[in-house]
Amino acid sequence: MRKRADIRTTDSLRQLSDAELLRACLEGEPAAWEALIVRYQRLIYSIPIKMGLSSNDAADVFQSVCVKLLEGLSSLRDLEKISAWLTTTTKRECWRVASRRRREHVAFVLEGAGNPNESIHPADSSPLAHQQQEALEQQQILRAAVDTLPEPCRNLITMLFYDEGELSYAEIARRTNMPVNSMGPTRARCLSKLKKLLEGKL
Amino acid sequence: MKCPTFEQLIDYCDGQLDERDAQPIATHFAAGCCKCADNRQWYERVRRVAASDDSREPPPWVLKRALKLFDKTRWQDRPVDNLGRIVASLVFDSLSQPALAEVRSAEMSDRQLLYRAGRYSIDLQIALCDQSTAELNGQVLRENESGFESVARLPLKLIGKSEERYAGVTNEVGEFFIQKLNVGYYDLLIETREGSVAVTQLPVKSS
Repeated sequence: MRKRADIRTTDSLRQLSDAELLRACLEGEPAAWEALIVRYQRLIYSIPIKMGLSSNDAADVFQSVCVKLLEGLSSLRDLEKISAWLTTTTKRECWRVASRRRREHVAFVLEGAGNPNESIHPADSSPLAHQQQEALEQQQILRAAVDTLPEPCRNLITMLFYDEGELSYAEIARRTNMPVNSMGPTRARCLSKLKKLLEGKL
Repeated sequence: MKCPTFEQLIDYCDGQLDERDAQPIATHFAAGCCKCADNRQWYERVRRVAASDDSREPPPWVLKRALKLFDKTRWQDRPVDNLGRIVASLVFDSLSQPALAEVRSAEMSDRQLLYRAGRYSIDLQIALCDQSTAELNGQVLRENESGFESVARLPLKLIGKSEERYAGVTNEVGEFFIQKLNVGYYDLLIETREGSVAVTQLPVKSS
C-alpha cells in the first residue's frame, strides 16, 4: 500500500507533470490540487470569456469544470496532459450555461416581462474559433513552461514577456536585485532553459 | 562569421544591437545558417505567443472557491494500492460482536460485514451452505444519494487464488448475489464511476 506523499513545497509541485499532480491529489494532497488548478486557471476562465459569457457565468463555468475534474480524478490519473480534456469540458459547460440563459430569456419574454425584439441578454455565446482555441492552448503551454522555471528565471521571463509596458534592463535589474551587466547572460541562460522545456511542444 | 551566441542572437532579434554589431549577424542569417534560423524562429514564435496572451486569471474568490472543493478527508483516509484501486476498510463484522444470549448457533451462521471506501459502502452477507461452500450477497451504496443511479450496473469481479471466480454487474439497486463459492479468502473488485474499489482478503467463511 502506497504511503501518503510527504508535504511538498509549491516549487517542487510546479515541476510535477499533470499525471503526477493527479496522483498526488488522489493521495489526499490539497497542495497538489491547488497546483493543478493554478496551472490551468487561465485556460478554464478565459474560454467562457472568449465565448462571450459574462464574468458571473464564467465563474460558474470555472466552478463546474473544477467539480468535474475533482470527480473524474481517478479516471484521468493516467493522462499525461489534461489540457485537451479541460478545453473540451470547459466548452461543453459554456454551451450548457449559454443554453440555460437562452431558455431563461425566452421564459422571461413569454411571461411578458421582456422585450422580444431585444437581443438575447446576457450576451449570446459564440463558438470558440479554432484559431482562438489553438492560441489559448499555445499560451497555456508557454505559461506552464515559464512556471516550471526556477524562481529567478521565472520572474525574469515574466517581466520580459508578460509585464505591461516595456521594462528597461535597468528596471528589471533593480526589481530582481541583479547587476545590470549580468542581465544579458542571465536572460540567455533562462531562455535556454525555457527552450529545453518547450522542446516539441511549441 | 561563426554563429553568434544565443545572447547575441536574442539581442539582435530584440533590436538591441547597434549597426556595427548587428550587421555581421544579419550577414550570417543571410548565409543560411539553419541552427541560427531555428533559434531565431523559436524566439520570435515565443515572443509572439506571449504578446498575444490576453488570457485572464479568474477573480481571487473564484479560485478560492474551487480550491475549497478539495476535501482532503475524502481522499487521505482512502488508501490506494499499487494498481490505483481504492482499498475498502472494514467497519463492521458481525463475528466480532458479542453473542446474544440464547440465540441458537445455527442463526449465527450468516456473517455480516460492512466495508467503506470513500463515499461508497459495501454491505455483505456470507451464508454457509455446507462445510465447504457459501453464498455471498451484497449491496453497494453511495452516501448522500437517495436513488441508486451511481450503484446500478457496476461491473464486479471476485478473485480467489489469483483466478477470477465470478464476474457480473450489480442490479438496479446495487445488489449482487454469488452462489456456490468455495470457502476461503477472495478479493472483491467493484468498478465504480469514481474508480476501482477493492475489498481485499474477504473471508468467505463463518469464522
